[in-house]
Formats: sequence, C-alpha cells, structure tokens
Amino acid sequence: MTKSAKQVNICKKRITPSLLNKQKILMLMSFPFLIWLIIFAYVPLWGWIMAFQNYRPDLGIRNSPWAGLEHFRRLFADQQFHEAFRNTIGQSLFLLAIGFTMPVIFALMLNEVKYLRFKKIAQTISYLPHFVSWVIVASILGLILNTGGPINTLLLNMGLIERPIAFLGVPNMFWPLLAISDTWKNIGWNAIIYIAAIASVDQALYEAAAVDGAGRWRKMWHITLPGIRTVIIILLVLNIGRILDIGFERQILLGNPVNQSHSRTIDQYALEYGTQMFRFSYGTAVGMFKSVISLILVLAANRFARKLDAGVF
Amino acid sequence: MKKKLVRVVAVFIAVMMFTAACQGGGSAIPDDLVFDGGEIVTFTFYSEDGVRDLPWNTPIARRMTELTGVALQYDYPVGGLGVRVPLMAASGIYPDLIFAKGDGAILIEAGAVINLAPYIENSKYLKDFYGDLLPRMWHNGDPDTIYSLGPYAINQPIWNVRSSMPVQNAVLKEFGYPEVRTVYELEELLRAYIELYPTTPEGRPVYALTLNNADGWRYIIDLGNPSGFLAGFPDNGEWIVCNETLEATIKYLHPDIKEYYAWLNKLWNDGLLDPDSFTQTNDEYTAKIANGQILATVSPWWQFQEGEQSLRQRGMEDQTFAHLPITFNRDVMPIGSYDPGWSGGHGIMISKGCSDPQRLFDFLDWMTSEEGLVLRSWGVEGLHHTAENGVRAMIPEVELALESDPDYGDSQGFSWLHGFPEIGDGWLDSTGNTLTRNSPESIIRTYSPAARETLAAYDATMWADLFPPTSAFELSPFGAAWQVNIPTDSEINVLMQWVQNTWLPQQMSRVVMVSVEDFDAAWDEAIQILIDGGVYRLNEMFTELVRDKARAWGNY
Repeated sequence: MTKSAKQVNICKKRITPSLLNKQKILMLMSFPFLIWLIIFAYVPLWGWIMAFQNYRPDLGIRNSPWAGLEHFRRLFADQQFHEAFRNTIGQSLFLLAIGFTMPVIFALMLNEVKYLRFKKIAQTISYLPHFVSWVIVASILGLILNTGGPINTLLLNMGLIERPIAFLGVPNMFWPLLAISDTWKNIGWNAIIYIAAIASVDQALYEAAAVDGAGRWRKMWHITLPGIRTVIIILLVLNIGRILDIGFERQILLGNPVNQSHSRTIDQYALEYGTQMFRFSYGTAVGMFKSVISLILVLAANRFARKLDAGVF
Repeated sequence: MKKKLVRVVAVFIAVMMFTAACQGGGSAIPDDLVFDGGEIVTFTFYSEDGVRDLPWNTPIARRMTELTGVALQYDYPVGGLGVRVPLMAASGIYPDLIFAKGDGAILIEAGAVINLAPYIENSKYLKDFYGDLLPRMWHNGDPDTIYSLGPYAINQPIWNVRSSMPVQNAVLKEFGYPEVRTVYELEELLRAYIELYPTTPEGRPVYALTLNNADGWRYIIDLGNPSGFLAGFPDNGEWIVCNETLEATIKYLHPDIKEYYAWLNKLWNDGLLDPDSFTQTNDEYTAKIANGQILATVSPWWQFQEGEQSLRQRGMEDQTFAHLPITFNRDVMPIGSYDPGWSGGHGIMISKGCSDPQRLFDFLDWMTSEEGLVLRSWGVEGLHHTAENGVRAMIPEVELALESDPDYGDSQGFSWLHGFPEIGDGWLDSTGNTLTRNSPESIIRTYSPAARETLAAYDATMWADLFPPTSAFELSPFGAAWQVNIPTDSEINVLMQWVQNTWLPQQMSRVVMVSVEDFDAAWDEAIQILIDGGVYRLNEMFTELVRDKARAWGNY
C-alpha cells in the first residue's frame, strides 16, 4: 500500500449523472443486499414500540395498552439487571483482553516458524476447535474442571491444593474461564485474518531491515506489527461494538446456580425475566437499551480509531 | 473430478434440506397404522414434561389408533429452558394438544386454548370421570369455563410411600438394620460406612449425599424442597401455609428451615457432601447413583429412578434405596404419605389451532373410558397382560422390565399416561379388576430383593407400614401451594421468579459452602437479602391467591 494510492482513495468523487450511469450495474447488484438489510435490520425496529406498551400477543402491537417509560423505570431499578450488565461488561473485557490479543500473538509467532509443514499442521489443529459446538466444549470443560478431573488431580498431586476445587462453582473464576475457553476455541480461526495480513506485508521491508542489522524481534516490532495495524484496529472497533452482544449460549451451558451471579448476561436476563415470563414488553425494553449502548460504544471506538488514522467509517 | 464433487455436494445439500423440511418436530407417524372406521387423523401434541421423543409406533400407541383412529405426533422442549410456550404465544402457532403445566396460564391469557366446558358437558365419559372434582378445574371459579383437563391421578390412595431421605439398603445391612429415625442418626451411619468403604469396588469415591443442583431448575428440587420435608412440612413449594388462617410465608423465613442448610454446610465442610453437588449435570448425577457412589439422597423418586433402575439392571441390588421415616427431629411426622388432595391444575389443553377439536376431544374422552384407562395402564392384552378367567394380571417379565429397564416403558407406550387424565389406583372396572395395574401387591412385587430384606428386618411388608397413615394428616383446605396459579403479568410473578430462580440457587448454595463458623452470618445475610427484595409483600399477595383457591374448594 503506497502513499499515493491511499490519497486517491480519500479523494471524494462528486455524484454526477454520468457517474450514476456508469455504476448502475454495481448499484443494481447491491440492491438485494440493501433490501435484505432493510427487512432484517430495520423493519424489526418497529417492534421496539412494544417496549412502551403492555404488550399482549392476543391484542397485538396495534391494540396493546400504552405504558410509557414504565418498563425502563423497572429495568433500571432491578438489582438483577445491574448484575447482568456488570457481567456482560466484565466478560467482554476479559474476552477482549485475552481473546483479542492472543490470536495476534499466535499469528506473529506462527509467522516466524520457518518449517512450513509444522506451520500448516499447527494452523489446522488450532482452528479445528472453532467448528466444535459450544455444547460439546461445555461438557468437555465440565469433565476437565470437575473435582475428579485432570486439572484437580494434577494440582492435588503437585500439592498445590488440599481439597479439589469445583472450578465452575467459584463465581469469581467464571469470567476468566469463559475467556480462556473461548480463546482456546477461536484462537486459530481468529488468527487466520492476521496471518493473511502478515503475508501481504512487503518482503522488501524485511530485507532492508536485515541489511540494517535488525533481528527477529525488531522486525516483528517495527515491520510486521505496523504492517497489520489497520487490520487490528478495524477488528478491535468491530469487537468493541459487539461488547454487549456476548449472547447467552456459553453462559447457559457453563452456568450453574453457584456461578449464576457472575454468568448471567443481559441477553440471558432478557430471556429469563422477559420472554420466559411472558413479559415481552420488558424483554424488548432490555434489548432496546442494549442496542442503544452498543451503538454508543461503536461510535466511540470508531472515533478513537480515527484519531489513530484507522477509522472504519 | 471437480464437476463430480460439485454434484455430490449438491445432492448432499438437497438431501439435508429435504430431511430438515420433513422433521417438523418429533418423529414421523408410521404409515402402517390400522383403523377400520375411516381415515386416521394425526394431531400434534406438545408436552412440557417430555425429555425424549415418544414415537407413535409402540404397541400401545398402535392399539389406540386401532380403537380411535387418532395418532399423536409428539413434541417436547429441548434444553428445558421453558421458552417454547412463550414463543408459541408470541408466534400464534400452536400444536393441537398442549400439556404446558404451569405455563398453561400464559396460553390461557393469550387466548390460545379453547373452552372445554361445553365439550365436557356433552362428553360420554369425562363428566362422570371427574364427578365431584369438576369444580376444581373451573377457571377462576366460573362453571362455564374449563381450559384444561386436570392432570395426575384423581382419588389416588398413597400406597407407594417414599422417604424424604432414602438410604442405600447396603448401609442398613452393614450395621444390622438399626433403628433410624432422625437425619443425625442416619448421618452417623453414613459416616461409619464411609470409614469402612471410602470407595466403590471400582475405586470411585463414595459420598454420603449429592445434590442434583446445577442442571436447569433442579435446585428447586434438591436444594429447596428437602428443607421443608425433613422438617415435617408437606410439599407446598417455596411456601409454608397455615391451614387455619391460610396465611402463606416463604418457607425460608421459618426458623425450622435453617436446619437443613446448617446440616448441609456441616456435610460440605466434612467432605461428606459430593463436591460436584453445585456443578454437575443431571447425567453426571444419574451416573453417580447408578455407580452406587451415593449412600443417601434427598431427591424425589422420579429424580433418582433412572439411576436406581440401572443399579438393578446391573445386579447391584444392595445399592438401591430404602425408604425410612426420616426427619430432623422425632417430634414431627415424616410426610411420606401426605396427600394434598387432587388439585386440578394445568393439564391437557386443546389449542385454537386445532382443526377438528371435537374429534380430538372425543379421543381425550375415550382415554378416560374403561377401555382407554385399561389400555394405558395395563397395556395390550396378550402382550403386556393376561386376562384368564376374568382376572387381569401383568405378565411377570413385563412387570420386571418396567421396574428395571429405563427404556422399556417408553418403548411399549406406557408413557401415554403422563399428563392425560388419570385414575387413582385401586378403583374397579366393570369386570371387577382394577383400572390401573398398581395394587399394594404389585408394588411389593416391584421391590428389589434387598428392599424386601430390609423391610423384613424392620418387620414390615411395605415402606408405607413404617410411616403414619394418610389419615393422620389434616386435610388441606386448598391443595398444594405449588399448584396455585400465579397470574403471569403480575408483580408476584416477578418476585416469585426472583426468589425461586435467583435467590434460592445463589444464596442457598453460598451458605452451604461457607465455613462452619461463617454459616450463621451467611444465613442472616441471605435472609436479609430476601427481606430487602420484598418478600413480605410477596407473602401478602400469595396469601390472597391461596385464599382464592380455598374459596373455590369451598373451604374459606
């Protein structure tokens, strides 16, 4: 990516009839995706009205009585919601701290491996867990971490603990456990994009650095990392936008009554205290609140990234 | 080569899509069903209690179609998260027949089910079947509205009495069948037994007790319920209700309830309580029971039944459970034989989506006919039971298989009892035989040899002999509190959800796992959280509901 090429990209073209004419095929091609987006991302927003109603399925959105901001008032007063919000943020931060940085490190290290065959095998093995469903990962984890499992046996034999620990039964361990297991599952998969980005770094730069006497670490620090900086920042921005979208699948599968105080997320809260209790309006209010915070997070992250000259939009 | 690959992939995808489209839920109805009276109608049936598919190709199901021309396609919740019914209500797409238990209230409110009262009025069998109990199914006390047919057996005598804390026969045998009446006496035996046998012959660790706690809602059963049972309170869910004033209190506020958690706390700290109690899945729990690793249990029979059946299948009879009248102190009665009375409750409903409700209702009606009741309980004549000289008797091999093979009941179709209107044991039909296959004798026949040995040692023939009779208890003026309907769109529902599904699992797990010295402080803190959460208001609101129900029963 040379400097002049970048400048051309930044230049804004003015919309003229001839330009529209020239790009009509392209626009036609993107049309289905636009429709898809409108149907699946914008039309459902209509349902947000439910958050301001006491919605009942038999009356429908048109006839349900209005409730004003009642559901939001209840939401902000609910201790359970505060806990779920804290957990969502906490788990996401752990995931960002471990789940986001490890693939970068993994890609850098893999890039240094010169023996091609090993590199390929390592890459394949590392991204296979991505295809294993969380249900299976959760039961494997359960077996590994239970009191008769290998980790406890190891720690007992090494004399580090006196009594086996039920790891999933310790609330404070839930966030790191989730982050570690998620990283294990996705490290190889997430590293692919970095490995690809590293491959596109100009080889001449390395040769020049070698001539200047740079060792491996210096090359990594001064060439590889800056070379993939844009990719890292874009992915970081996207990840921050999804902080609240942590879901509930992993939490439900790994959760139990004891770690519930640290496992329940906003989505799970919306399910358990909204939909499952037939409180559709309340569930909608939770979802709406989540979406608004997510939007703020994305915008803030992007603003930050633009300062680093790598904003997404 | 490449072309071939593309073709293979295309065919594969087509097959996948086709099979996905065909699997509407549950397995397909077999096409070789027989019915002489016209076309066979298939109805879809959703059961909240289902855990695996019940295909309509069992001998009993086939016979039902032969007699009625109706087949049912089974559907059940996957993952046990209780989202299916709310989703049904939200989407407006309903199965024909629904057994939704507590979630039935949601469907009634959403206007999803039809009023069965006019159908019952004109029914051949159902009206007489329920008889005097019919008012208990009235919706809000209105005689013209009945949305669901009450589930569970009506007029059921309690023969099959079970302990609140069953213990392995092996433990009692080891110490020469001593008299055991309190939890603490039992605890001494368990401690002594573990001293002798810290592991099973295969080397697995043995525990005095395990809790099936972590899998979904099960903490309500193992962590919540026994606290009341062992203190002599009959099953009212999270409640203790005074029969005179009908005042309801969340049971954790009652001083006697604390004892259970203090005791668990002691076991936990002494390493007698399985350390996986708060993290294991139901499968792990069942495996432990089936391996004989658990000496005593506080689970109800339906929870450890599968494990116990495996024990019998593998010939580990001594590790099956004995049912002794255990409570925390001698002054309270063990509640094994307590009968809250038939409660009505949410049973089978017919949805608005059913295209031919009359036909479906006739099928339900037939289920309560003599023919239907006998088929569902006794199975098919010649295959499951015999009727020689007018005496109906189960074939011994079938009876044994039902008790000792976890899959046998489903594979023959005996599961079609559950949720549907059911008659109590001991009632006679027109031939002078009982309508259900259960009798005191049949129950004794199902006992394991080890259980019989234990019973003989305690000079009894049935577990019931060791317990006070049902008549020793006061009649409940309102049934059981866990069967009181809570309106879905109410403050009480939200509070109840919090107490039962957040406070109970979090706080009671925590108090069990603190050190013995910290227990009292942890307990007080947990109760304070409960009070701060608005439990007194909840008590007041629930008391009103209990009184409403007692009023409907004519007792308030």
